[in-house]
Amino acid sequence: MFTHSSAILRVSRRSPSPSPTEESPPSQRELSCNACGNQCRFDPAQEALICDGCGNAQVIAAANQYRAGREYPFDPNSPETEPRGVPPAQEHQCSGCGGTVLFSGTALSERCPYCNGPMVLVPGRSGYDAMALIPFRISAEDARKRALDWISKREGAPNQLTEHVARTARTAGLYAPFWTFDTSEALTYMATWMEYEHKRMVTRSSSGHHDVAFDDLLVPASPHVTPLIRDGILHEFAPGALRSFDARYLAGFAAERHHQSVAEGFAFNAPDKRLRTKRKVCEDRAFGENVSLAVRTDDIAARYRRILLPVWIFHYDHSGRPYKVVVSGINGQTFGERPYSTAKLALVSGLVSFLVVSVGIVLGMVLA
Amino acid sequence: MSTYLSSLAAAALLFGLSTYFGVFVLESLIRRREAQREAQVESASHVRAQGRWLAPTVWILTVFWLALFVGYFIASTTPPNGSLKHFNTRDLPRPAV
Repeated sequence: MFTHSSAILRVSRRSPSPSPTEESPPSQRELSCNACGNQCRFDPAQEALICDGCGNAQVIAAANQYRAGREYPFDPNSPETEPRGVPPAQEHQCSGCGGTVLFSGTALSERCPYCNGPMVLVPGRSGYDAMALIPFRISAEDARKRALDWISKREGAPNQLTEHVARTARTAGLYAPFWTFDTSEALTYMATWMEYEHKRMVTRSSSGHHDVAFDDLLVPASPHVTPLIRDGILHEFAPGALRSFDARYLAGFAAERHHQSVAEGFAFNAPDKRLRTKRKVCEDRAFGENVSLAVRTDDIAARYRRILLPVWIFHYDHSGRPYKVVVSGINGQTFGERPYSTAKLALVSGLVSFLVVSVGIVLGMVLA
Repeated sequence: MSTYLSSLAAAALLFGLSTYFGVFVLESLIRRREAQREAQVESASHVRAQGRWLAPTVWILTVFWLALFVGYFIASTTPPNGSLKHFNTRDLPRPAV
């Protein structure tokens, strides 16, 4: 669990220009209770900064939302011009996975939100600032309930797993870095497939040009945002829920900054994007599933946003192996890793094997 | 006789191996079902991790055909009257001439 202590602060910086890097870190004054001066934390239920000392609630006034919907052009053939933000004085880096996060407000943890490894303080690296975020809407208690409910419904899980997780799991609330990409691509494709014709297998092929467009494609902006986090819980991302970046939403949570440039992100996510592009071409051109498709991108236009998305991560160990369950901080959707009971699986496998082997042997003897 | 026992041993071995590999197949089946039902998997890395060769149909059909073969072998090496005493007389020591 997070321990409550003093905040890790960065120097406040505000720029009046609507540049891509307009994020400003929370200042001590912004996160302090205006009644007693204690540190506050963002409460998802009330959508306000709550003081744990006196219970005072400060509603976060809706900021100008124009930045939440604004997207910035990216040209892969032009040199990178986006300036990096001011590096924080210190960041926490995980000794295990290498992930770096910032803790805002009252949240400070000795454990990595991504992998539960030990964290150490390191000098802050310069990164790119987020433009928008979706604040946490699911509270820690609610997320915990959902995670335990998910675990209790697992088939073939070891006995007493839910009780074990309830007793030992560690909770971490994290704003994970993502991009949204709008891309429009002009492609040249070459498809080949096999089909029966007059009882003979023949090879068919087709080629041509095709335009493919993606709107608000959600792409992880960190190698620590695993497929488990992205596919498990955030595939129902709704861009309409984005708000302009306000550092007060981060109070009480960990957050990872964007460290990759847009070009680096494009390259990092190229394999997944290629798969999506091929799938889209197959759908649009009504190709079957067994098609070998080669695609070449002739031209691409892209627009992007740097955003932060909330996620609760539960870490637990079972038989010496680490597992995690992730709960979306947006809608509570839950997915995760779980152990299997070898005894239960072996019992089912043994029964199925006995049936199949028996039927096979008897049938073989009859045929003989 | 030894051929008959070999057939029985093959059946037992088949059952054992099937049970052993079935554990991995069932684990993969549960994992894939959870991913499809709850995560709606899309990414290349996640799909690749599912391991298609562990499909239950492959497991069951392989075991079934092997069992069929073992059954056929058992039946063809069992003496017609069911008595093992006269089983495969070629294996018995020949009387000294």
